[in-house]
Amino acid sequence: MPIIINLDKILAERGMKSNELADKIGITAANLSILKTGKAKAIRFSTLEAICEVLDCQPGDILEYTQN
Amino acid sequence: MKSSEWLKNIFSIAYYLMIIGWIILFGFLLYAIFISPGDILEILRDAEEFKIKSKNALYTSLAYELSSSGVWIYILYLFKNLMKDLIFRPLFTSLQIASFKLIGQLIILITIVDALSIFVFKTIFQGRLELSFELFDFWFVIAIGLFLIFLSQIFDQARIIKEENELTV
Repeated sequence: MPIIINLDKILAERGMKSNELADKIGITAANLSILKTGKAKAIRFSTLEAICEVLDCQPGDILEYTQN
Repeated sequence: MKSSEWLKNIFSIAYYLMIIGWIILFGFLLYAIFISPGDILEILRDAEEFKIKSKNALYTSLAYELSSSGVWIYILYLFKNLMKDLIFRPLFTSLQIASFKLIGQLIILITIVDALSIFVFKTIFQGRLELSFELFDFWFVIAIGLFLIFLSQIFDQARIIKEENELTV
């Protein structure tokens, strides 16, 4: 998939763990793992909004487009 | 009782009745081969599709009927299992998609082979060239087979949508 999720990078920069983020945005750790590993087919605006709010970042910091 | 369970029970009853019918037919064939073909010839003399007059015609038609009904038994077995799967497991699984497709293909195949076999039997045993595709016997069953294949394609699309839905975070 040409869309890359940079969640690990942002989490490392903020010094936050995945479980903590999952708790704060109200999704399961399993679903967050699906997102982090690039297996997700889609992301809801509400989830993206919650991630941006908790990590204090822009959607573009998390999602990156690369050509195959 | 739910309609799906009624349907499952109907398929189960039809399946076991077909097995009993198959065993009786097999008994007819064994009786004709080893004991007295004359008795069986007498019973089947005025068969619906074509008249069975010789021993060869009797053996061939009985052997063909056994193979044909064997395929129908397998179709009912697949239907029975499919209904069980649809009732007790999650919907749109690969097994359900494959089952619908296989059942549809088998129904179409056996219906065409049945029609051709009657044509061949009439030609060989009665010297009559006659090919008939009656509305209910042929086209209706073919339509059911095609519908099941179409249903398998719908289930396949539904599986993709379900997968996408499950992988939406």
